[in-house]
Formats: sequence, C-alpha cells, structure tokens
Amino acid sequence: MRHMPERLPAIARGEALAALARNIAASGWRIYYDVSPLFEEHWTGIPVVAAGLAQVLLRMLPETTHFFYEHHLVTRAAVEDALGRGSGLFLHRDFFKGPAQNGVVPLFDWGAHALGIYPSVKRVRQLFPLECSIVHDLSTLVTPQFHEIANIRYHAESMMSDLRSNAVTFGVSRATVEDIAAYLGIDERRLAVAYNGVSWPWWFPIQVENEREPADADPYFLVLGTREPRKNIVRIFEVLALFPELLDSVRIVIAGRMGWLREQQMIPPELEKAIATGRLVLPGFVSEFEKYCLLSAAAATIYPSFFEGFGLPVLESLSVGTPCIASFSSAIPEVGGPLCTYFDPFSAESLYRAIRAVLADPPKQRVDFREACRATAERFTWEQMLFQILTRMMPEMERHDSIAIGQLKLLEHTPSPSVPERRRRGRPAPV
Amino acid sequence: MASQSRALKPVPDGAGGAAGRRRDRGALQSARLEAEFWARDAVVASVPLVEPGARAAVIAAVRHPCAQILFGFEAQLRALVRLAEARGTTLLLAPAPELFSAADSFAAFRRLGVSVGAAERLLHVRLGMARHARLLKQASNVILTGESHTLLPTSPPQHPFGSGDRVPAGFIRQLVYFPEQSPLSGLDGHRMPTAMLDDGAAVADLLAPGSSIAGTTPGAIPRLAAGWVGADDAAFCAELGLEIGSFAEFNTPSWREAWRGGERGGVPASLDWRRAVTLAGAAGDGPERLSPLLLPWNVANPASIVPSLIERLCRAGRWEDRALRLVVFPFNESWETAGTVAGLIQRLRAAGSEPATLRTMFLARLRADRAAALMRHIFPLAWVEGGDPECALTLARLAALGVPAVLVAPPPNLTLPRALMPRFSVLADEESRHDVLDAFGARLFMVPSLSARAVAALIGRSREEIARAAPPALLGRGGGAPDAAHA
Repeated sequence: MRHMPERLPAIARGEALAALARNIAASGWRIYYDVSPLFEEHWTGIPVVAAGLAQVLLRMLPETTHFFYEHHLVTRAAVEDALGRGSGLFLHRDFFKGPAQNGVVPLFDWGAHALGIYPSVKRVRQLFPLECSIVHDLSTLVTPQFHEIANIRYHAESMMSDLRSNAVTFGVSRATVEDIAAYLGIDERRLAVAYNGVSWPWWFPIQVENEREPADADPYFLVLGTREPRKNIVRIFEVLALFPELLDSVRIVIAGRMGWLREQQMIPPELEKAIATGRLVLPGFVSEFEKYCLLSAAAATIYPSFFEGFGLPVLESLSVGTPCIASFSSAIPEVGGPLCTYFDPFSAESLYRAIRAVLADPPKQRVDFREACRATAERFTWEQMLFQILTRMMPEMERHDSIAIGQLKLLEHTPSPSVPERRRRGRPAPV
Repeated sequence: MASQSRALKPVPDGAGGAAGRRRDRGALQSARLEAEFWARDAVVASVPLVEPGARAAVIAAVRHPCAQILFGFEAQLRALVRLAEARGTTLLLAPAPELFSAADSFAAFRRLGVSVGAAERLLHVRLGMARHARLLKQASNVILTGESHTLLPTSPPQHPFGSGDRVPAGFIRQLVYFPEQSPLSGLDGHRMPTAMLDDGAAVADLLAPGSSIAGTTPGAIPRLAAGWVGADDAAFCAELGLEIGSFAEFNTPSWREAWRGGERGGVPASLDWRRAVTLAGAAGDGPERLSPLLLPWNVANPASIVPSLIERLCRAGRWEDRALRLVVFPFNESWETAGTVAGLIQRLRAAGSEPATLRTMFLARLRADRAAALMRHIFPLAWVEGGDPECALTLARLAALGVPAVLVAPPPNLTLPRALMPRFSVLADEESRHDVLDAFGARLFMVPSLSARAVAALIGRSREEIARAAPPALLGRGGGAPDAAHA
C-alpha cells in the first residue's frame, strides 16, 4: 500500500495553509526555526529541505517565524540572503563573525507559546515548550556500513534524546516513520509523515530553453547524488563493465560532490577510456541551475541507492518530466510511485534490464507520463510539507494552551508530619 | 607450580566450575517453539552480511556462499537452512532486509513465488549479533542469536543498541538454542518473549544426514588420524574447504581490493585475509609432528581477549619450541570488523615478533561442510574464550565436531548447558580494561583475563590433555614427552 500525501488541489492546499498560518499568528504562538543545516556551503539533501521550509515560513508566517542556531537568534536578512544565494557560505561566516546574530533565544519571556521546529538533528534541545523535528532517515542506525564512524556516533548519540524531547517527530516518508517506530519503539501517535517537496526558481525553465543541447547529441542517463557508498554508484560501474556496449548508444553523467569512504576511488580502470572519450562524464558538484539543466535534458535518471528516507533526486527528476530508473529500496517507491522503473539494487543485471526497458519505450515521449509527472510535482511541495507539520502540531499547540507551565513535571513535596502528629493521627477516634 | 594451581581449576565432568555453580542464575524459562511457528508461506533469514557479496536482494539461502561455516552467524545460517529443510520449508536469505518497504520492493519476493502482504505469512529470522539486528517489514520478526551477554559495558553507550543486549522494538520474539542463554530486551528495558529451538538446532548442519560428520567421511581422512597434517595433506585439506595460512605469510588485501578483484559470482569477499595460503606453503619444510590448538576468535566481540592472548604468546618468545601450533579461526566478520585480523597481525609484526614464531601461528577458515569431519583428526584440543558472547554456540559446534575444548577465563556469571561443559576451565586471574570506540559508541569493558603465568599453566595443562588423548609421538618434533618446564 502506498501512502501518498493528501490529494487536495494545489489552490485549496495553499488556502488551507494560509488559513492555518493566520490562526497561528492570531493565537500568539511564535515559531522558532533551526537554521543549522543552512550553514553548509553546498546544499544537497537536508539543507535543501531546510531551505524549502524556511522559504515557505518566510512567505506564510513572516511575523511569527524566528530563526535560531543553538542558543542564538539569526537575523531574517541573513537567512533570506542565504536562501537567495542557495548557499550557506556567507550565512556561516556572518553568524560566527557576528553580523548575522540577533541576540539570544529568549528562554524565559515568551510564556508558553513557542514552537521549535528542527529540520534535522537538534544541536540543542528542550529550549521551547513544544518542539518537533524532522528525521530524514535512520541510515546511520540501519545501514551504518555506509557511514563514517564519527557520523554514526553523531546521529546515534542524539537520536533518542531528540525523539524523547519532541511532542511530534516527523519522518519524510511513511517508510521512515515505520522505521522509527519499529527500531526505536516510539509510539506512532507521536510520529507523523511530512513529505519533502521540490521547487525550482521560475526562471530556470526559460533559461534552460536557451542552453538546450543540440538535438543530434547522444542521449544520456543522469546519476545524481553525493558519491558515497549508500548511493550504490558502483552498480552503475558494474553495469558498464559487464555491458560496455551500452555506452555505444548512450552517455552516462554522474553528477555530485565527492562523499566519503571507499567510493571516492571506485572508478574502475576499465572505464578510464569511457571517461577519456566523453561517454562517461563526472562533473562533480553542480549548481542548482546546472542540475536543473542536466535533469531536464536527460533521457532518464538512474537512482541506485541502497537506502533512502525519501529520495529527493527521484522527485526532482519527475518534477521536470524526466523518467527515473530507481532501486526498489526503502522509501523510493513511495515517492516514485508507478512512474519509476524499479530494479534490484544488488543486481547489475536487473539494472541493465531496467535501462534497456526505458530505452526501448522512452516514457519521456508519452503525454500521459508527462501529465503524471506534473501531478506528482504538485503533490510534493514545500508548502505541503509545512502544511503537514503545522496541521499535526496544531492540536499539540491547543492542548499546550490549556496547560499551565507550573504543571510541567513538577513534584509537589508535602512536609511529613512530626512524630506527635503521626501518633495523634494514628490514634483511633474516641467512640 | 603454585601459580599453576591457582590458575587451573579442573572441573569434574558435568560440574563446570564457576560456570557450573552459577548455571541456574539468569536462565531463561523458554517454552519449546511450537511447530506451527514455521508454518508460513516463507521463512526469510538475514545475517550481518557484507554487502558486496550479495547478488540479489533475496535469494535461496542454500545458494549463499559462506566465507566460513564453523562458527558465528554463518554457521547459524547453515544450521537454519538444515532446520528449514527438515520442515519442508525453503529458507530465503535477504542480505539487507531493511531495504524492503513498499509493495514494489516485495516484487523481489513475488518473483521467487512468495506472496507477501500479511505479516503472519512471512517469517523473518534475524541471525547474528544482537546489536546488528535488522527488521523486515510486512513480516513477523524474530531474532535467533547465539549470544549470551555475560560481559556488558560498564558505562552505558549512547548508541541505542551499543550495549549489545538490546534489540529493535519490532521483534516479537527471541529464539534461543539453550535455556541458559541470557535474554534480550527492547530499548525500554522490557524482556522479550523467548522460545527455544529443538535440541541440536545449533549444529543441525553438522549432524544432518549426508554431512561429512554423519558418515560420509572422505576416504582419505583416516590417514590424517595420525595427527597434524603434513605438507602433502595440506592441499587435500584445502581441497575439502579447510584453508590454513600462517601469520608469517598473511597477506592483507583490503576489503575494496577483494571486492573488485574478480570475486563476482563466487565466494563473497573475505575481509582481511583472502589470500591466506595453505599450510603446505607456510610450513614449507615437510611434515611436522606437532599439536595444533584450535582457537575460535569472535572478531565481533569488542571485549575479546583473544588478540591479547595471541600477542602475549608472541611476546613470550620461543613459542615455536612449545610443540603447540595455534590455529585461529576468526568468525563473525562483517563491515564492522574489516581490518581487525589484519590489524592484529600488523601489530605483531610491528612489535618485532620473530618470523619463526609467526610461522607457527595460523589463520584458518572452514569453507565447506566436506571438511568438517577433518576437524577432530587435526585438532586434539580447542581453547574457547569464556567471555565470548557466543561461547555456548561455539562449544556446541566443537562438541559436534568431536573436538574437546578448554574454557578460558569464563566470567563468573557464565551459565552453560550441562552437556557443553568442557573438561576443565582456566579461571581468570586478572581483569583487563577494554576501552572501545567504534560505530556503537564509546564503551568500557572490564574483562576477566589471564596473566602470563596463567597462560603458561594453560599451555602446560593443554599439553597434558593432548598427551592423554594422543600417542606421545605426536608431541614435539622428535616425539617424546612434553618438556619439563610446562609439564
């Protein structure tokens, strides 16, 4: 069974979110949004999600939203600047040099009306009366073989504390929510799904038209993602080694920054000729616009990942109408639905068959496929993600309104009676 | 002699020393597993596999090529295959059960003729170390571990499963081989319901009809009964699936090299010592009448004293004159332990161990059932680490192979089944501190261990045991009695 987000029309969802935002603003609640993921220079994965949500918060709840990093408030202007640049390079610099700081998080003077939203791991927790955070996957716990030890420890050491201090924890897919419940025993009533979204600047499609490749160029398949072991890029290399004739008719472009562990050196020597002749292209990290260009012009994308909490590149591919050949692992089918061609991430033969199937009947040329892709892109938006978060948090906020702060885990101590008093109490009443 | 008498506590048959005295403490009250438990549409196993070895997300378990079958989770898998066969069930293997989630994932099962949709129709049995436990969605998840956690870290690790005795909440039951196994619990501390497998489940593969031990002994084995294999016999052993290579000849191709080095379609990559050569290449100078000691090493046990024991033997000097040959069987190798064996040997070399000493210590791996019957002919004795969580499982398998065992430094709270009690235990006379910092966090173990004099006594007593069981000609290069210093 697939769990898809609510199929409300986009306009209705926008209105519902606006109404929700008005309610929150009117009720006097403040939203504190952790911008620590935005401090990365290159945004992929979690920083992209954090940026998407920040943009919607700025647009829908401009007066209610405040940004913070650990115990410090961050200026709205610095966050807007980073969102405009698509990079946290200057945000990071300006915060640690001072100009982007806006004082400290007011810990004691807001009453009980502050909601902390953490788009990833909490660097500090239990600052706010109500907190929620987003879990993107349990890969450091469930597939630690793909991570460096320091990264595993960073996530493992804060995981349980984060979950316990949340009123609600959001997973970016049903698969992730189920993982949290099944592995960590968190009550499903304190878990909810908030699917990631996808959005592109309005000018990207226009600019792409100006930079389109010549029509006679060989089609290419795009592999998008940080080159880390979990992404299973080796399966692509294996296919190319086993079926080298594939490169006669298509090119392969593997875009993404260098990650960690062994895959950094994993380009097999037998593919060096393909690199030299331009049949296998490794451009490294690409900007958002370059990514959009590559996605738009690709015959298809290949996403062979072993484990994903969501699979953002799958959604990005479908959002521009490009079919995706994806591994059937974890949350990927939940996002790709019937639009992807799935394969076994352990099997090069299975991937090869999927590639051949797409080449034989290119979905990109079908109108119904393009329509379905458009519908998918409308279903997965950052507005929808924020809507899912706030809708689920509203009851918590209302419940919290009715609780006085003094009732939070206070243990009343009554002085024990003195010995004569105890004797007097224990004495039977005179008849 | 005084130190020897303190260190060695011979145990009458069936008593088990410290282990036996505390047998009942903490024992599980497990009901036998009901027969209908297996009556599912399909039973799927999973182990802490090394990812590159797998060629599909789900396969028939019998097709999985094990790197070694003697101990640990691979031995568990082999035994479970036989158990399932005995019940008319085909056991599947999912190398990474965590990747299955949506209906499209389970297409891999449907292609094998398994219908999936309701948890009660699919049973997932997780084998191996509890801290590596993974779940299969849309299945009933049970964990079958050979572990009994007698040594827990003294400081609570931050990793949810770092202590080793806690498992994900999604498991509905713990299956055990022996009632003495310690129970696992969930993250909230609640103890899992347990059920016990049939007697002999831990060695079902070794004792199954048709196995080499059950009667189909290769014809040439009787000629090995005279003792240690010579150079000519080594090739025979390797052909049957017993690979032995000396520390001196140890080669350390990395995981990556092994993965890329033409391994596809064959045996999954060995993590550390794929190119260990056979005894013939290592010994080099013809047959030797020496007594090999089998030393299982659970490389997944962060508190193992085996590495320090080996280092101590190397440092002691003139080990090569002791007429004993240490043959180490590492098991439970996974992504987590890559480099562990190589690290030990590199440390030995860096510490200036004599090549002559390194030539008398061996790494070994049993790859095929055909060679199982060789074991009792080659190894007159095994040293089994008492603090190893899989100690009971290892003892059970050694007993099935006919290899007598000595229990080394058992923790005071160890409980063992009566049938597995070794002839004697060597009690710890020291406690060593193991500071571990790995993927499961920072942990501190205080581990019972042996001092140098206790090790010397262990060697002497082991030689006596071997002498009792074998003709004197097998001891020492020139035959005759063990040297006086260690008698």
